[in-house]
Amino acid sequence: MRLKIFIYQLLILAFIIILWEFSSKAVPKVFLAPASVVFPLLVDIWLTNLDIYTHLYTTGFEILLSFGLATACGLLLGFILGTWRLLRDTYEPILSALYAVPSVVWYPLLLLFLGLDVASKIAFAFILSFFPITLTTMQGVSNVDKVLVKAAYSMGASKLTVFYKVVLPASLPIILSGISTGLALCVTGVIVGEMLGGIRGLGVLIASAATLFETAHYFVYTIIVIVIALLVNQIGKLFERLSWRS
Amino acid sequence: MTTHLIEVRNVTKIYGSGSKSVVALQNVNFEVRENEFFTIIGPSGCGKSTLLNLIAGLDKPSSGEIVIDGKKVDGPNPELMAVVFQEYALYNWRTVLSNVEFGLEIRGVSKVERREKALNYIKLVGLSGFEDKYPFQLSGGMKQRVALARALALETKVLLMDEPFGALDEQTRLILGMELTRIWEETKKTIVFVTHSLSEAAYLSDRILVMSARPGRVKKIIEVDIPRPRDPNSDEVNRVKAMVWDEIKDESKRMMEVAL
Repeated sequence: MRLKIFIYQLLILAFIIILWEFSSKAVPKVFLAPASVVFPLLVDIWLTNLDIYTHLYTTGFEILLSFGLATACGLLLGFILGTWRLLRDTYEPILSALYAVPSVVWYPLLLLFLGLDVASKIAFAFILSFFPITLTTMQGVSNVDKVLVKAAYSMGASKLTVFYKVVLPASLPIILSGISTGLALCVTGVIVGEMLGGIRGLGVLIASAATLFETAHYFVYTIIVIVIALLVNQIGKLFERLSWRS
Repeated sequence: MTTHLIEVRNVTKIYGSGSKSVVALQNVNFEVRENEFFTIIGPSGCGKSTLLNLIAGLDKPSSGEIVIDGKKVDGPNPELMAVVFQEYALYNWRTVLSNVEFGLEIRGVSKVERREKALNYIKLVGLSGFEDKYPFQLSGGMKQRVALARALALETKVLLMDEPFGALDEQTRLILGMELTRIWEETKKTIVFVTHSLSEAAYLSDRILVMSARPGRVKKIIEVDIPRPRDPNSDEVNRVKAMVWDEIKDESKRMMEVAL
């Protein structure tokens, strides 16, 4: 069954690549570089152009750092708001409203304050993923079935024990799904940030290839981003599988 | 000589304040004897679960007091009483064994000893062989057996049960009722059992407290002196059921009128 699905997925992928190859014949080269040019170029860049590793390293560093910071801050604030009713009722509307603002509007300000290099990307990706992590953690913690808590109290558990033996494990699946969403948003934030203005990174490469109409290069970098996104998605799923619910 | 293990004295519970306040319980007085199977029955919304929560120390009365084994209740006391909830309240990330060990773990009982006790009570509720299953792999009746084993493992004098079989189908209820009787006889506990089922009350209890509709008050306490083992379909049990129904039907009607 799984093998069958895998084969079908490969077939779809092959179909897309063939469609891509043929449709690129029908439009000017600037619009669509054919697969037969893009894949050899990808191999060539990978093997001969060592610069790509610097850019990859920068992008990876930005993703990891922003994700780490957003997770740490989001979990902390989410736990506090989740356990403390008054604070939650006070700040939840503000957080939700801020979350609804398209984060990209903050980016010019971040560039101004933090400059064109990595700091502004990290801050931008942080803003993007901090909110969903905080809000899901808060919801996970505050929605724990009350009777589970009551049962623990009836067995003599202290508040602290209830938190780490009941509330934490009970909300873990939701918290982990929030973290997984946050990770995906960090990748988006970093790439978008780099594309909108930066010095190093995959997004910078994509933006400059696009501006210079180097369509084949543009596709090569885009494929690399897709591969990173798929990898990150798998890591996110791994996070979710850590919980007892699966 | 019968001694009163639990004394509920003039207990009133009011929720909310001002014009929106609701009197859930008003001047409730009764005693539960040692080793007794004591049932509280009443129309839904009469405050019977509230009353059980107060006895369990999970909530505080607005006035009055509850004394158990000579001590005033002012919080949960897992050395003295264990609680079983209608919703099972099992921890899904723990196995059956680990769920049953939970209370002992909090008490600080050593690993070896709590394992031994847990296995013992899992056997008593008839779940041997399921120790390593997770709650979501079990049926409702089995889940409630786990919750019962967890409460029994605390080895308390008092067992408080809040509509424990309320979410189960009738056959499972009957079977669990029979087993609860057996366990109660073996462990010599004092059980306070909240239910809305007339059959359960008549078939299981030594005494039945019938509560009035809101505000919850003691309407009547009915002695059930049918010898055990009882047949749930016998004439005696049906007669008690009819007596309870006589007391409760007007209250249920009143409650429905309030709701409408």
